[in-house]
Amino acid sequence: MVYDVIVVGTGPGGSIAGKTAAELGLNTLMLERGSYPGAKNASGCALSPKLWRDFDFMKDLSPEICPSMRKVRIHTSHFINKDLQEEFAFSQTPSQSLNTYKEAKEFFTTNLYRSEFDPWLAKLAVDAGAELKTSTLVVDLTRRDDGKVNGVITDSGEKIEGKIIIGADGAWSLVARKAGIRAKWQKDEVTLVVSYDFQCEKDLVDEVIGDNGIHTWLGGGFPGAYQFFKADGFHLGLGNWLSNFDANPRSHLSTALKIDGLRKLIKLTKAKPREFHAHLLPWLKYPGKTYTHNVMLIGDAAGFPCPFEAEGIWYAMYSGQIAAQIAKKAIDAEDTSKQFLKQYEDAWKDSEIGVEFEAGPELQEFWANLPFTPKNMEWFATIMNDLFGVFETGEAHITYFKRINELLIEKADLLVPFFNRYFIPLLTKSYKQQLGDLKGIQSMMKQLTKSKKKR
Amino acid sequence: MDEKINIKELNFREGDTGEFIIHNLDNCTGCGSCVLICPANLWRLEKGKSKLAEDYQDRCMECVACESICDYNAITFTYPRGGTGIKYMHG
Repeated sequence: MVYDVIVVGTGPGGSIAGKTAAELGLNTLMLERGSYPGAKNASGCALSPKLWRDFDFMKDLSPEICPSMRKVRIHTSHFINKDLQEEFAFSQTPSQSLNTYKEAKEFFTTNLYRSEFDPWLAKLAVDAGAELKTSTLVVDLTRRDDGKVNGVITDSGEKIEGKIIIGADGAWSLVARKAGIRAKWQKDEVTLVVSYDFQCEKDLVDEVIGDNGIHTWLGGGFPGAYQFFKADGFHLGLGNWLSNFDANPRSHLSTALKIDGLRKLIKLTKAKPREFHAHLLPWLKYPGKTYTHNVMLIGDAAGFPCPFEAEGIWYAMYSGQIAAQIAKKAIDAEDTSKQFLKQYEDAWKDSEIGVEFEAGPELQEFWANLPFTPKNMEWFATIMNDLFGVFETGEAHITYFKRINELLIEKADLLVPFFNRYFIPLLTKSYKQQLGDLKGIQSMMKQLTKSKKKR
Repeated sequence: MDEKINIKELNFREGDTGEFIIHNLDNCTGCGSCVLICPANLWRLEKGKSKLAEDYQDRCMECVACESICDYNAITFTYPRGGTGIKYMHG
């Protein structure tokens, strides 16, 4: 028995690859090392509206299927000083002018638990005709005499033959390594994310949190932490690139748990720790190679989490769908060579995944140098707060206006290089040209620097 | 809050994992990267080399950060056998 497609891993990407392949009539096997799909998976798990835009079946997702669902309309960012006191905060809601479709106008994210979502997606694949084997760890790939991959070996020693292997096996990806597509990630390409799940009283979360279900806590000497509320609990997590950790990841979580505002939310929702998670998450400036003869990588295995915020689930599902469509073409053409599968790379580069990575380095660096660099966050948070100082009542308002101007001049040595290094490249990239306005801002900032030197 | 958190009570596990981390002492330089990164505190330094906790199978989070951060190929990680090891109920 030779399968058309063997999907290794049944996270959201693997299940959509399996579902799509089965729907296209391919003989599809999905392998999962956990005792059920999702048993090994943890993430912040805030689903973006893109899932509802691109996958029809998402309209069927309801609290009956996923009791942990919470739609988030308000996202609050808290800026914390080194004494763990809140210094500045802002809230945002889905923009009615920038967004172009219903769901994106309606919610920022929908938060839920993977332990409910992943099994549901896997069942959609099984219902479409894919075969699912759980509790099955893939330990190696088999190769033909010519060296090309033609199947997998499981931990029970079973050899299973497949024309195409889709590596949906997450950040570490045995498929990627054994197929020779890549070695392990460099330490500045992969993050480690640790998180606590807290259980709360659902009524209290409804009452106290409601649709304000995302709180991010930035500054405070630790890499930015996220708090994603579900129906009856929340994830509190944080991460950083392996190259950047200067202390044990859990000790940063301990620091975050000392923030006054966060402690208040814990108290108000009667939250208690329920589970601890740790997971690798690739966070790249640009994905590397994603295919070879008879093999394609999707989702985290391919390094697709978005370069700005490392959202991973939509990228995994969308690349899984593309990979299955290319698999169908390849099998129909009886050509699964890497020359043929280059179409997979062309297709994802052509899709919104490719669009997202057009400014990959700029987006990634911006994030790396703000939320993930606490020493930058300290002055950033203070300056943000100072800019809003016009609302203070200690003295005449015009006095505050004047002082804000003076402060900007004073801080120009700090602001101008930062602005030029991280904001200008991003804006330049997004407009694909140098804009006169940007030069104007730059020269204004230069002018401020000069006037400071004169003083 | 954190003082009261004992992560061992916060993880569900199933089955007999078998051995899944191999520490190659010859390659280990005792740089301490694995000690720093491990969220389950499974590694410590002893006599200039790192040492893996004997009960690692009952405590490992399977994140593979240790193998990923090691510059000297001193750690081989192969995952617990299918259907065993950590099980996330609220991942």
